[in-house]
Amino acid sequence: MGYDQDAKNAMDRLHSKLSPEAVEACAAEIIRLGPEALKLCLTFPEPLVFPATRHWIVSVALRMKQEDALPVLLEALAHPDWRIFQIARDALTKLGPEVKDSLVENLKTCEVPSGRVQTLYCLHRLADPFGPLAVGDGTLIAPIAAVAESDASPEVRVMAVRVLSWSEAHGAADTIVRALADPSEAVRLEAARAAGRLRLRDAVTGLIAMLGHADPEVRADVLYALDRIGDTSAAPAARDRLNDDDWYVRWTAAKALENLWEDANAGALEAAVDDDNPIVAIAAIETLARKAPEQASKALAQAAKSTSESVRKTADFYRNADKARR
Amino acid sequence: MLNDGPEIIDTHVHAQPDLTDTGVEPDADRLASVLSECRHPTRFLVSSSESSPLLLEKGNVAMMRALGRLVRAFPDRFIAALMVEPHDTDDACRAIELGVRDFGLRCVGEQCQYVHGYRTDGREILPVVQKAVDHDLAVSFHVANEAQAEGVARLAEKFPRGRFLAAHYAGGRSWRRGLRTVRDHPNVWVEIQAPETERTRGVIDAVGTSRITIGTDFFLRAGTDCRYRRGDDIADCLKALKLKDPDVERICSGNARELLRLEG
Repeated sequence: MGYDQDAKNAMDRLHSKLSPEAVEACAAEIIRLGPEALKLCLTFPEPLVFPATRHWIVSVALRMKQEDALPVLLEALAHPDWRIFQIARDALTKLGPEVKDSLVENLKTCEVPSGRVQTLYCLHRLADPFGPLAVGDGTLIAPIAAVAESDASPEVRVMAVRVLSWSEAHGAADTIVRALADPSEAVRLEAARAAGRLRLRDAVTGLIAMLGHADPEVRADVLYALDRIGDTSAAPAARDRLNDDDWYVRWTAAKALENLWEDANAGALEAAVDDDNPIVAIAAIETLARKAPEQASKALAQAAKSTSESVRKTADFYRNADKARR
Repeated sequence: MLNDGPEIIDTHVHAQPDLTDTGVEPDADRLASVLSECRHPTRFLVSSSESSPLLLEKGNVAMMRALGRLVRAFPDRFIAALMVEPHDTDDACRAIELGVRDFGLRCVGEQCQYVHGYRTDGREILPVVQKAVDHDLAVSFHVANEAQAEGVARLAEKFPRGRFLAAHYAGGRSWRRGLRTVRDHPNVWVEIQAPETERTRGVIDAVGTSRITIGTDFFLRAGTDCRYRRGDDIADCLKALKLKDPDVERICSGNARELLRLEG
């Protein structure tokens, strides 16, 4: 389990019994004592299992002088326990654009890779173009792209690529396409997902080349990226994956062919209606029925005889829909 | 209970192991005390705890029976939702069928992928989602980050006949990005978890008032100190946002009725 439910319940009960005056006195004392007291709060993760306690420490950190709290929070980003680095991330995000330069500097100075990963996460929150902080103006793209291309740790490069795509940093498209050839497999996979998120057509050739990967989870993720990009030049490669050994890959392919639609998909999907795995068969039925209803009736009649109740129900649904359409 | 104002259907309540795992008959007085401070008539879509030993050691069918006992004892208060541990596909699908047949199951979830160790749109969950679609059930997911929101959005696109509920504002701390990810999928509903004006307004702006439910992540325990108030607080928050009464009623319970296909 990720946390101890009994401890959480016990903290919940204790929290409900504390008087507001006692809570405020404790906060005031931490603020009076300064950074060392905040550091102490961010040293022992176990009592922080209760969310309200973590929120309270964030609120205390935000009431301290920024120059006192900032070094402690940046250091806490490198703590291995999520309860500690989550507090630091939340507080730094709430401090807002004022701490942007300190975070960028931390990417260079923090020696712990996980600390740089969490720093990137904070920058992602600040760079969120839908946030209220008004820094989603692209100014963070360059420093994050630099990390994606040159940080020594693959773990950090993965996070940088992820953050660029989450932040819809189309200005970093070239960085993401180049990351498809990163020496680290983890970075290449993240770049594939990022290319899908941003629907980067320049990535299609590189992604098709990755479809031969030995790991079916990678093949499925790459297919989904091609699905999102929607460039029909990938349709033949996706059709080939309807014969993949792995059912999850075949399911992903059957679904991808909807966004990668071309007429040649219909025949391949008709054959996939007979797939041994009902989830794949249903995906083939749905894609066919939604994209080529005129051609689907034979496949639907065939699916109506399936041994799988799920397949039969799906076929019935689309046969009825087709009748209504006609 | 004053029963004042629109009904609240809270779509996110977890019965703790002291209610589900013990085999002890549910206590009506205890339940009355839990709801004693509610102003609005209130119903819970109740599932298990993600860390229930019964679920983790005996499986989904055993949990469905235990949860079913609780729901049957208070049919006017509880609606059954089954949090499925999906790694044993057969057990998961049998539990769903049992729930539909015997206990009025309306929802699969809250699916806690982060605890049970699978990706939101991973291979483990697809047969479960298909089973939910076959039985016209909603599927609720824990959504506390961007990746989980992306998983729900993908499932919503790939299971166009499914109905999905994204908990925790569709993204927890990353709610803005989460909402951006799910908002264009008309078969995704989003839960408001707390009386927070900014996030509530953000959810309304993203998905409108017809795809929002109240889902508080309340831990329903047997202890005498367990009290439920948050549904009222969220209803007050909605009124403070100066929403029209029909919109408040929709968010409090109308949308949940549609999502869960409830008649009453």
